[in-house]
Amino acid sequence: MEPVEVAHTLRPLLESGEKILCIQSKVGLYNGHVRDEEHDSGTVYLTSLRLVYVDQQSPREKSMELHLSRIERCSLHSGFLYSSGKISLYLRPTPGRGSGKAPEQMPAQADGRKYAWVSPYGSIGSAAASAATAAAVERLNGHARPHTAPSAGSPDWMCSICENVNKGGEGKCALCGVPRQGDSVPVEVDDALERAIANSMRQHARCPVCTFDNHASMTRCEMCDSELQPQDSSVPLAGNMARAEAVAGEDPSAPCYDAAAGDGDVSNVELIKLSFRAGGSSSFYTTLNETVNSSTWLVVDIDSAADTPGGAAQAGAVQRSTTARERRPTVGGISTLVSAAHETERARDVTLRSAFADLDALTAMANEILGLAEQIATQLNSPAASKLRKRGGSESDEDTAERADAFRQYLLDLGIDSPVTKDTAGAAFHEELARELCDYLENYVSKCGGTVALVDAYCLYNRAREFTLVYPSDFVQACNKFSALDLPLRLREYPSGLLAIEDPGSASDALIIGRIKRYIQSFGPVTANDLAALEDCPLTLAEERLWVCERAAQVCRDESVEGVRFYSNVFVDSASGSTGDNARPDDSDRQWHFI
Amino acid sequence: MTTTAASMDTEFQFPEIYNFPPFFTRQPNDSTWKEQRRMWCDLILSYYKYNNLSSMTLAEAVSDPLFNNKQIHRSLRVDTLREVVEELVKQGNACWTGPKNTRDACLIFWRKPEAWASIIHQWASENGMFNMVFTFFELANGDDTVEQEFHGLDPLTLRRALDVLQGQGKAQLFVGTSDEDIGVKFFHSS
Repeated sequence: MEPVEVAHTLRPLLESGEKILCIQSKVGLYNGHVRDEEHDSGTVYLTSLRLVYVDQQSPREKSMELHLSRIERCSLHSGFLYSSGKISLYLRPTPGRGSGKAPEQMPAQADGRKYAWVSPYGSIGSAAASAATAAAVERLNGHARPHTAPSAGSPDWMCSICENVNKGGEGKCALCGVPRQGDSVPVEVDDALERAIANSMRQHARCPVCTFDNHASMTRCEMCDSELQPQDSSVPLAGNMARAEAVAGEDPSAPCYDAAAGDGDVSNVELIKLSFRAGGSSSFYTTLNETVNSSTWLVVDIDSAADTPGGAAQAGAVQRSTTARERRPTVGGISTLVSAAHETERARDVTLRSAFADLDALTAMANEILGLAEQIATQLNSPAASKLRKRGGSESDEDTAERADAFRQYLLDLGIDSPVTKDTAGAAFHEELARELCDYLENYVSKCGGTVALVDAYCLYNRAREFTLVYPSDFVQACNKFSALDLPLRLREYPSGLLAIEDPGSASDALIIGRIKRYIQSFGPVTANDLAALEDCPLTLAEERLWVCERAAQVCRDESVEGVRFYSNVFVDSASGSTGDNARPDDSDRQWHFI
Repeated sequence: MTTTAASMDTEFQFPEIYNFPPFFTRQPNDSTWKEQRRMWCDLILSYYKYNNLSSMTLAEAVSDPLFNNKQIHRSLRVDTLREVVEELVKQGNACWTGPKNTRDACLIFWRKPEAWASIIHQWASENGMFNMVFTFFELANGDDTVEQEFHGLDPLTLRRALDVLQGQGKAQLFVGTSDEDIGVKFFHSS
């Protein structure tokens, strides 16, 4: 994976058009089957282009990204007892992966986009497959591969608990996680045996659900009626098999072929595992799989570089390959019941979809408008626009520039590109929401003098989120996380219960008090109304600020039929400084007779 | 303030703070309120001393010029005044009178009873009045005391002062049928 920069709120920096699809916290990385201690806990963001790992401890140094185009396929292993749910990512091999360090141009991606790729994992093959059969499949899958695992040389051993054959000198069994016992038996892997298993695998069609070995001619499982993966090479899901067959013919053009391969019992498919310590692996997997299969990054590529013909061609190819397979009707038994249920479900789905069709149309329109806004923004930034500006009279030059800036700002305020939602972020929702909020509100808060009432912030933020609105309670919870996440904003509750978002740097009490004292000195006693006008802030906030001053004994109040008016605190001032008595009369007379 | 300055002879001159509108609002801030209360206590005592007053009925007092500044249209609320008097009572400069727990009327001691007691005893020793019996009326309104500060003193305050003297063993009170009839005899300080 490649090191990546993060924003100062510790979220990944997104490219234009890139959207965050799913976020999961407390994820550890496995380098092959070995736990990667360096990247043991962090948040993983799935965007439409990349997988980004942001480390919890040192996000700036250790964060990494993985472009989705690198993922050949992925699989899910749900958690069991002490082992948490994991997703395995099988990466497309890069040419020259023997060195494993140099960034390489992927020949397959000839559309001009750079897929620079530094892969510290590149040289490490999966050291041990989770089961013997799996190992066999892997072997089929990859042809002769260099055995470059760190454990090279140490003999394989059989776990005394589950009898799984483990590769190399790892301390734990890859299957059951039990540490290696002293008496575990070193095993010589029988190549012939494996080959036999693999052959039998090819003849049977194993059900992906119940693992029953069906006859090769079956299209649905005899036991559970679930769909079998056809062995036809035109279907991409069986691509591994197909590839294995192709490679079996020693295809010399295979990019990863390495003649120096020796023992050949280690699969070289680059493997990265994500371990979901806080759950959420299955939903993450669903989104990941969808994204990888639908190749959204290609769509983005086409958008961003429409003039490269290769990209379009590739997108077409992907589309062709992902066309859905027809379901074959069955008669009687459980399958009829199941299909009846499916029918009902589908009918319901259609009803629901038609009910929300209008909304979808609205969303689509909004997206168009957003696109338009972005386009205008880029045009404003373009050199042509600046030339136009220069041509205008020199006196109106600044004015125009200012207006353009303001306009651009409005456009930026229009929307948040990929708003964090509960669906994408899951358990990390509130943290992520807080980060996004901070990103969005920081400028606004400082523009408003450092404090914004929570209600105002909520309205503003929701407007920017277009359709994916957040609940007020979620909003407050996210704001409460500001300090825990070490973000530059704070949620403050005033004693009256008013909630406000503050930038502690520019809105400390001392600053506010100083400002209000200056107002009183130059304008005489003030009411909350006066202060709201002076500070250009909401009335409730002005009131709170005056009360803050009062609690600090810096002002005193005068309640009358005209309302509450605040004066500078003569009581405390005269008590603290007796010398001030001489200086006061002229000054105080002016103030006191203000009414 | 200009009016008070012009007729200084007859009218009490209020301090500056009297024209400060927040002075008439009870301040919510504790430290501010303590200062404000202290200022009110000072003002009440000096006002009562100047006009030689002693008793106060709170409900009526709030319409007095002392608590009602017509110039700036502010007046003190009764409950705020009660808090101020409470503080005066705590300091020994006032005491509640009237029915218990109503706290509607009070006596203001612009000079504490102890101070009165020593003044009266001083007078008695200077004029050789020891071992003679006086009635209260004689002390407060008699011809002998015309020149004295305690001439015309409120009977309740006088009673407090003489109680103090009796407690010190410098006087003996003789209680008659009514408060008017109380007699007192002074002794040398022992």
